[in-house]
Amino acid sequence: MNTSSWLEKLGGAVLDNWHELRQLLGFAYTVFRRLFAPSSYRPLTVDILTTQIYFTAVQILGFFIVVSVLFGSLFIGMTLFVIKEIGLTSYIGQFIAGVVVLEMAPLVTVLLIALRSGSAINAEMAVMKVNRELDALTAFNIDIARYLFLPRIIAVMVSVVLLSSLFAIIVTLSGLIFSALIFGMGFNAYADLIAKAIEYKDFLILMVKSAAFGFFITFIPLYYGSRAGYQLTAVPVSVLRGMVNVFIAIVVIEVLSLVARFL
Amino acid sequence: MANRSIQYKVGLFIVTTIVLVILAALFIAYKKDLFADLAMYRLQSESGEGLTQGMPVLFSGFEIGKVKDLELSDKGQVVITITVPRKHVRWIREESTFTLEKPLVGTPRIVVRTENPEGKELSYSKVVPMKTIDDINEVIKKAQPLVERIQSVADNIDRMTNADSELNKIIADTRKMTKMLSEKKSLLEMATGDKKGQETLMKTLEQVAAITETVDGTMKRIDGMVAKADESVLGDKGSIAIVNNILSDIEGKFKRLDTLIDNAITMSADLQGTTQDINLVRKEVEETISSVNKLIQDVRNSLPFEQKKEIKLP
Repeated sequence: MNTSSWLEKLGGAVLDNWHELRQLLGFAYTVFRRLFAPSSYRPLTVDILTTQIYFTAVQILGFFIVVSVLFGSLFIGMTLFVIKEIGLTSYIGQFIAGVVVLEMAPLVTVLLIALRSGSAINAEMAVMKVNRELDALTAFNIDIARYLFLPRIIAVMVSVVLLSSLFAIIVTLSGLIFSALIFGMGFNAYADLIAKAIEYKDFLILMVKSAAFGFFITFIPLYYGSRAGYQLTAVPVSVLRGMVNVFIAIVVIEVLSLVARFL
Repeated sequence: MANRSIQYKVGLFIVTTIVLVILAALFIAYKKDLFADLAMYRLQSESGEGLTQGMPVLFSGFEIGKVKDLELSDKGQVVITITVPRKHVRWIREESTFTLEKPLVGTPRIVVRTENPEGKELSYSKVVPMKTIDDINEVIKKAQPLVERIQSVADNIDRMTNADSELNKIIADTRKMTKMLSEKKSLLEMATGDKKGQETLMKTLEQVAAITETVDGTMKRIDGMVAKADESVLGDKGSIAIVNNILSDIEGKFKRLDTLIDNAITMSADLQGTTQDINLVRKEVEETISSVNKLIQDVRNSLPFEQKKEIKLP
């Protein structure tokens, strides 16, 4: 391979990525504009939004609570046991506030929602593209960003924020049971420890982080789904690309939130 | 349009979760004494190092307040404003001491110590000086001599392992000795340096052995002599036994002599009594003679006889 052809390939890849990035940013701009425009919130949009929240959060609520109780209790139980072994009992509050509320609650929630709803939204959009439903809506001058994308993004954002909060509350309460069993700690002592360790900015970080997770695990599948080809084989490729990028987005947000927290 | 059931479930989910979040936030606010009536006090420190807003104020290991504000006074000292809920005010008295503790592990905290909770309450207008205990500096201070000792040990090891060090010289000498030993037949040859020396030394050793044998025989004879002398002196018929007999005899004679001396003392006492009796008799005789003399003189005076110059005494 000579130098000129290598440079051509490099230049081509850069241009492709730049083009992709521009399209992604353009898509994000369109969604954001609709997100903050009051005209976007028409009865039909609210109706889709309600249905989407139902599918994303309410339908899995029972399963989610069971997962929260089981996973959260096991995690808290094991960690409190280790904390007791190494004599750091006074740091229970910091551990539960820092690890469970701020890190584990949004992460577990977003992984569950991304696997369930993110992939479903990606596949739904790709199939609509294959069936030329998106083209049909565009042909009828229906704003797909307003009627298809926006309700889903808001619904997932709301669902992730609410489910993360619910997860944090459930796990914190299960921590009460384990701290009573392992340390013989009463409700008041436990509540004092947690209350002293949790700051109001932790609530804000939890909400913003969950909202950011919700936005990206919907926005990315919507983007890749709507950009799928017209062949049926394009559907899995679109879902694959979308989910890989969702995973990258989750990692990036997690890292950014850690950086923001310790700055 | 989504059916009413879905709308109801979604609405219920959203409202319930939001209510739970609000309740949790309110409970935390209550536990953080956000709704409590707060009392404020002012402390003073030479330095603001380690002090932060929101830092806990502890009494007996229990958090009773927080640092609300930090400011620099006109005199260049740090004025710390702390807030304490009214329910904990009884632990803040005029004689309370405040110490900024910077532990080795964990966050710094202000520790309050109050001996008498019944004392007068501290006033906001009074600025209380605060002490500082820095565990890290304390540990460094304590570890300093140890570090110096370690440094000294390291220096010694360095000196010992130096190319010109005594240890290296010893090792070099040992190496030389080992090499010499490997080249020689025996340690003796290595020590003397040549074969002749070794032979001479061997002869000397043989002579020493012969001398030792002779000395040994002499010593045996001396031992026999000592045994005989021992028998003649300490034996049943030895000198010591005879001397013992003589001493016993002398002892018996001394005992008899003691009796004689006692008798003599008694006789001397009797003689002294007799002497006193003789003196009394003599005195009586003298008195009698004197009476007779007087009687004669009276007779002479009564009778007209020529007086003779001599009177014959009876």
